[in-house]
Amino acid sequence: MQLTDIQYSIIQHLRAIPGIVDVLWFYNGLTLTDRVKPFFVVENMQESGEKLAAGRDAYQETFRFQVGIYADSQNEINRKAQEAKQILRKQITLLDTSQQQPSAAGFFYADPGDIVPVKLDDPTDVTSIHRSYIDVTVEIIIQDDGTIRQ
Amino acid sequence: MTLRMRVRVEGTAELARALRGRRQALIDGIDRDVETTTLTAINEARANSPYKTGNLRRQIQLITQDTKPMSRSWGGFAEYTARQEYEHRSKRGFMRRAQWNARANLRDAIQQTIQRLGGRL
Repeated sequence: MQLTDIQYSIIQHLRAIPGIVDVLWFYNGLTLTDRVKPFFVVENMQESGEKLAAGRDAYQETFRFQVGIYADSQNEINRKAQEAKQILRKQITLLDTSQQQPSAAGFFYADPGDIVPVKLDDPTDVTSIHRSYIDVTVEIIIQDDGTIRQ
Repeated sequence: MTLRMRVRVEGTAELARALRGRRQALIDGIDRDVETTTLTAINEARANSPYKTGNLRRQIQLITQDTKPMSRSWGGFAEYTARQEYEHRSKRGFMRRAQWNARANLRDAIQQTIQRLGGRL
């Protein structure tokens, strides 16, 4: 269960929200100008690991993401942010991306955090007039024999 | 032939006995840990924050009104703090990173506090 699998699974999970044009995978250099809204951008942040048991029997890994929501109006941003938060609370199918065709390989749960609306800095930046962010955390426990649980 | 594996946790009776009557010492110890961890997080957030005039950096502070036993709050008060936190090209997440590191530090600190109290038997 790698970061790539989890990020891809979250992206596919968010695509199920009706009315969303696209869910983008963030990378350095991604441009958002002139994209049709509403869309999401999923970016991975710091990943923490922690030893849970003496003798290194179990580790807890915490994956963190930041989901950016861009919309055309205040009404739309409020709705889409709320829908994203609610759908992220549900079971997410884990997609294994090690093969050319990703296949379902179980499921996991994510913990969405607060919805943070971000104010406009540059009035000429039309893409960014209505946007919010949600922090999403996925915590898994990896045991010595390789089994993964939450 | 059966093989018996014994799983046992030792020392909880001693810890409970040691902490009865030292409940306040435990609360004070944890409160101290929360305070030092929070101040470390604030310093870390400041050190990693975007810098131009220092306005954003200076306004990352402890929220004194939210101080309660074993609980502290801190935040950034410049109007554009949230935008820089989520969207700065290279330094985004400067406050969240400090908070996530604080979580790990706090766990370690509380573990040491409990050990220190239990050891004073």
